[in-house]
Amino acid sequence: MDSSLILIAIVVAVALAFDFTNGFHDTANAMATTVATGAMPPRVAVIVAGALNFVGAFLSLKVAATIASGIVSDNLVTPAIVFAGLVGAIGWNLITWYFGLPSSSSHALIGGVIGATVVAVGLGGVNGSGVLSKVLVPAVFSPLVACAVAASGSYLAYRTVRRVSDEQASRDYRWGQIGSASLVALAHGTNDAQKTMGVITLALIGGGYLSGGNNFQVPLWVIICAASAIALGTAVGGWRIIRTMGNRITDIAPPQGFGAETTCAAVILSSAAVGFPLSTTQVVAGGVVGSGLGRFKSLSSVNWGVFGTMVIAWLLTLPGAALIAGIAGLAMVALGGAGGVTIVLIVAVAGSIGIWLAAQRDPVTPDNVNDVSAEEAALAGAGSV
Amino acid sequence: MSSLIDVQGLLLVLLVSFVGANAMVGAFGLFVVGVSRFEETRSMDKNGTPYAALAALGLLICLALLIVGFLAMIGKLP
Repeated sequence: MDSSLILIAIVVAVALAFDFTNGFHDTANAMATTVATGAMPPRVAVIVAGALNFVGAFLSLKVAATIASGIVSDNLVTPAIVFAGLVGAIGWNLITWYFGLPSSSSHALIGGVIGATVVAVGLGGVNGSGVLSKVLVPAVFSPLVACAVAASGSYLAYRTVRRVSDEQASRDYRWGQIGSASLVALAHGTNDAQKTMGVITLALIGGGYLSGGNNFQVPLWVIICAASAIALGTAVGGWRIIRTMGNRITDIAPPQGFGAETTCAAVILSSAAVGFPLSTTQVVAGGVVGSGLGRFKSLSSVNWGVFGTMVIAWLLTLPGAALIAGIAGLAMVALGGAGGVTIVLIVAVAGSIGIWLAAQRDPVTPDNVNDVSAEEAALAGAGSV
Repeated sequence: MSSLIDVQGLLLVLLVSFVGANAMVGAFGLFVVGVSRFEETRSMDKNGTPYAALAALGLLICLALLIVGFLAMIGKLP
């Protein structure tokens, strides 16, 4: 077996590992509010989300080759750069998962590819205006748009049913929440599984195992593998992030959860239709904040400390993933060839296991995902109404 | 700077999502109100048909919006 085939095989395996982390990192996007309000039992929620992510991955392939396109020079991207970029993205996803911080997996992947590209070919390989228009500007607007729309949606939800008993409204809105959260899960599978398909396809084209050009086809095995990896990751459930999104930002009741998820689905789908690249994670986080503001009509209904920490994580995602990928790239250059790739792979696997073991000292599971301290619950507005 | 920010796209996303989300929330609210009033009137042995129709209308609008959302997801919107 020649070394280029081994490298492609490693890139494919690492891309699927990234897809898995993307899945469990983003389970919260669809199901955090559903779990928080008890609309679905936690384990059922993540399995449903996983199944819908799997189905969603087959619905559209239109962005499968666009990852990092316009951000780094396409002709400079090699399988080695993709590998180092994926290591950076996985590393950042695991670090933010450990701290329970919802951050964008897409931005982590883009940051990783940027870091690896800078190490390989210098700053000239990075398109600054592409980074600004495709990553930074959307990162600023995603939570703002979602927050504004969710605030109006939640306000309207409570206004419409103000003469309906709380018990009846909660019962009916829990069903609504299942529908709106399922739509977000489906949309997530459609959007995010394609990133991995794109990465694997690019690696196959780069290695000469697939013909490129404008009319290339994503192989069926790539679609099935990417869909399975993101579905499995989602079904495992990133409970630490689900707890943050569902319980630590604001107190969520069923009508509000329905308003938040409906808003997020509307923003995600309209941005996809218009072609404006918004981060699902940032949309959902902004939506949860907006739903709190719309329900309580008070700034004190949001735990701004938690939200501020999330914003800092968003700001650090691009440079953080780039730094990890850059270090991986430098190590590969220093060690050289297949040996360098192998050693970076071993270190990356060891680091991932280390983070997972560290997380087991204070595990968040389906059984305690909704448990937050009384102080944190009060900061999130619990008991305000 | 305007070339870096797709202002038109951003405003379109804001408008479409605002209308879409609030239409869905409002329609589901009609459904909830309709079901609630229907159950109340039935328990009082009165005619609850108008409320059942209200609930059905709300549900139909929700289903229509879901279909639009699904079409947007698979890129089949005109």
